[in-house]
Amino acid sequence: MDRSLQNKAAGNKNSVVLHVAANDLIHEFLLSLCLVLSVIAVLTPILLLASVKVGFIDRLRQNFINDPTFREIRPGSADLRSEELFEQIRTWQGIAYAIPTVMMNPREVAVQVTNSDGRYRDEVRLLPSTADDPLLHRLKGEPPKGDGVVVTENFAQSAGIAIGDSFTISVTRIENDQRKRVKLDVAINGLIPSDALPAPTILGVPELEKHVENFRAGVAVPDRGWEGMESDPRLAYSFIAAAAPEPLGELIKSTLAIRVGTSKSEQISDVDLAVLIGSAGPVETNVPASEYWMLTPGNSAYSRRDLTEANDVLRNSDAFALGIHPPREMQILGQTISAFGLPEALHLDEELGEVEGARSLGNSFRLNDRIVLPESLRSAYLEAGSPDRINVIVEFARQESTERLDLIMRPSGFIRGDSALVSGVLMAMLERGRQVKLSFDASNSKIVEQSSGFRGFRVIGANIDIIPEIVRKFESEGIKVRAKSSQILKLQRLERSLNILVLVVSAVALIGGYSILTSSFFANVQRKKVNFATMRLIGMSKGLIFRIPIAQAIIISSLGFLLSICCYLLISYILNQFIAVELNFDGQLSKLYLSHYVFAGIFVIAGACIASLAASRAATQIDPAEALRSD
Amino acid sequence: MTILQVRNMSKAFVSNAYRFDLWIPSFSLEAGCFYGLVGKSGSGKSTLLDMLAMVSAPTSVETFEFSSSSGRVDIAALIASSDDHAISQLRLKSFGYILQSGGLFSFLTVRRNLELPLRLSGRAARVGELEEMTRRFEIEEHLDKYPSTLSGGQRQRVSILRALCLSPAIVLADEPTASVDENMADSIVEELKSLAADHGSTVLMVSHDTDLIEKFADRVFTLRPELVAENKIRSEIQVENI
Repeated sequence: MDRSLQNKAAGNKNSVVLHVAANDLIHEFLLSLCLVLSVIAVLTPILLLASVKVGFIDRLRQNFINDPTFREIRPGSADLRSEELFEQIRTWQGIAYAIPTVMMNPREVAVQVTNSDGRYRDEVRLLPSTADDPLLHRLKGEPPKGDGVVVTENFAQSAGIAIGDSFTISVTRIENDQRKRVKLDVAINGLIPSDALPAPTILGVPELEKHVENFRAGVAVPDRGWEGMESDPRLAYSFIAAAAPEPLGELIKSTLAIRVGTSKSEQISDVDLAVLIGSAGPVETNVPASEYWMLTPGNSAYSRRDLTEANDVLRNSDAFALGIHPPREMQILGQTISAFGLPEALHLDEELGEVEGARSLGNSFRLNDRIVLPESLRSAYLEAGSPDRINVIVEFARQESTERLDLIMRPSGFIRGDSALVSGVLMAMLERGRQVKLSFDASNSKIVEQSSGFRGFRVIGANIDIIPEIVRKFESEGIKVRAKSSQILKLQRLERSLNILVLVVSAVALIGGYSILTSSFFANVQRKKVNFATMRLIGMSKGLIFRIPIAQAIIISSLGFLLSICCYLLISYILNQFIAVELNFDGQLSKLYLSHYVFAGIFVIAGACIASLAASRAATQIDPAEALRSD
Repeated sequence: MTILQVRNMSKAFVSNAYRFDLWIPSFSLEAGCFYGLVGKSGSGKSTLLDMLAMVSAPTSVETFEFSSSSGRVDIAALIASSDDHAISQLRLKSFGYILQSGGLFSFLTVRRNLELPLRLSGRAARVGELEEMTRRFEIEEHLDKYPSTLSGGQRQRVSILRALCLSPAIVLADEPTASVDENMADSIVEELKSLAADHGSTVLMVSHDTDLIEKFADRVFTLRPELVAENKIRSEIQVENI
């Protein structure tokens, strides 16, 4: 048979089934009405219970959603982080926005507005932002661009300025005991409502914050003609080792780990230490040490302040802290050589080689631009004419802030083995170069910082539910963060508990409801055995007869569902209009979404169909001969 | 033309502590004839009718065939293979069934009762078709009433119309006059015979009223139960020519 004819025949037969099923229900109107009412009696309270849960949780959620700080994740420590880290963070699931900031917490800048009303001065926070910043989703005007900024409405009102106006930002730093100030005129591109950011704030392009903070930190900003300060790069250490003549007590070790911060702390031997720094031979401390307690940082390197902190902890013992680094590769005289740094407090075994002025390898690169070449390079050095200065190239890994440094260094003797020896300070500067962009100023023979790096960030989650997960991800990466995840977790726990409550109550009610339907459909078939037997005699197949109780279940449950929705909407209206107002509930106390209606509808109708299966099977099992004779 | 052929069909069952064997050595129905089936109460008339209507399977059967202009159907094979779809289609298109009680659906109006076989066969009643059908039995004004509002005779007439509305080859009538008086019985059977003749249908009517059957039937089958052993009854069909 042609497929369209088959479909038509099937459609005809289904319409016969529906016709028979519906007429039977209409004929027994009171019984059918009771069944519909039983569906309403079960479903309406479930809908109301679920709607109050949804309304209550939605209100709490809305409170969180309206407060942007609930979606924000802020740094928990001022560790330096490379910009590339944020490229990775942006790819994490659930991240709506991620932008690095120079400072851990946004700092204020002095602003001055001069207009016809007079002069207005204030201190206002400066935040980096871009066009896709969720904070700008209610922006009036244009996003930050160049020296055009967005400001909060409260600041604009206080200062009496509007979109298109300009004002002056001034930044100061103390240099040689004198205040040095630079000024910058910015235009207002747009305004954001004060409830998005309650504190008066300027949102500028990331470069604006970078320039301001670089100037404050003494880093030159050539783009604006702002000069830097004459200072060496800050030092950073891969590890801190506590060298102790006597075994360190547990209290000291714990205090050390807590105050300095550590992802791992372990005891190592002097041989381990030599291997760690890459020395070809043993190293010795100026004061004899019997054990070394090594601290490994988390995501970032240790700073000079961390080293000072460690020494403060050890002040009352004879122990002292060393900033140490693993060896790193350098290109020297055209060859790639491993170089190791010697911290100030360590010296090499004199047997290792002839080292000129090795004791002065230390404090500053300008004074200690020396390199002790390995014996393996002696012939290359001699072939090059024993120059006073040699080029040393240091390349950094792809994700590090500095790409490459071309240094000019002074050869200062030879050392046994294949590794070159440089000052510990140089190694600490190179460690800093991983997080902050460095360059080598050949005219002054000086390594300088080109930026202050990034100590903070603004990360915004796509929704509040994802925040605890993002916090866990940060923690697994060794990055300390702060977020309002505990409050979100409490909300999620409350929602889960209420879900379970609704489910349990619904399950109990539905089991009762479906039991009523099952027994009613079954009893209906038993009462109408003769009818089903006659249907067989006039030519209805078992398949069609099977569908009749199912069709009745669909009709009853659909009617029950629709009337339940009507009852629910009526009661919900009363709850929202009167009870919610009386309770001062801000929002809809009773609320369901379309998806809830769809789910409830499918669940009720499918459940009723399942409840009718026993009746359907019983209808097909009726023996017409027996049923007709027993009538 | 023989439209139904049965050979060596039996049905064994236990009823009221008796083992009952219904034995049909040979049985056939010719097209267009009016047959009567008589027998005492408990002789197996309804059992035979149920087997012919394919709602009760025989214990054994050698031949059980239905023949029509479109071919021959081996009903025994259909029953053996439990092909419910084919059986129900055969029942719908080639068999009409009239029950003692009428067998009308109480939840459907007369019109809907008459429409049901038509709709099952995939067609709707033509405009005025039902009115025309019912006019002959003078029940057209009851078309939109429920069966419970009709008299016994009216219900049986509707039942006859429903059984014949698809012009089946065979109509099986199980005591259609049991619940009406004698005059009404005559009238109903006469109308049944007349309508069946118009549709070219063969009728096999079961009745305990031998006089009524002898009055209208072209041929009568009789079931005669005999006590063949202790607690064992055997009933065999016999043909009585009138």
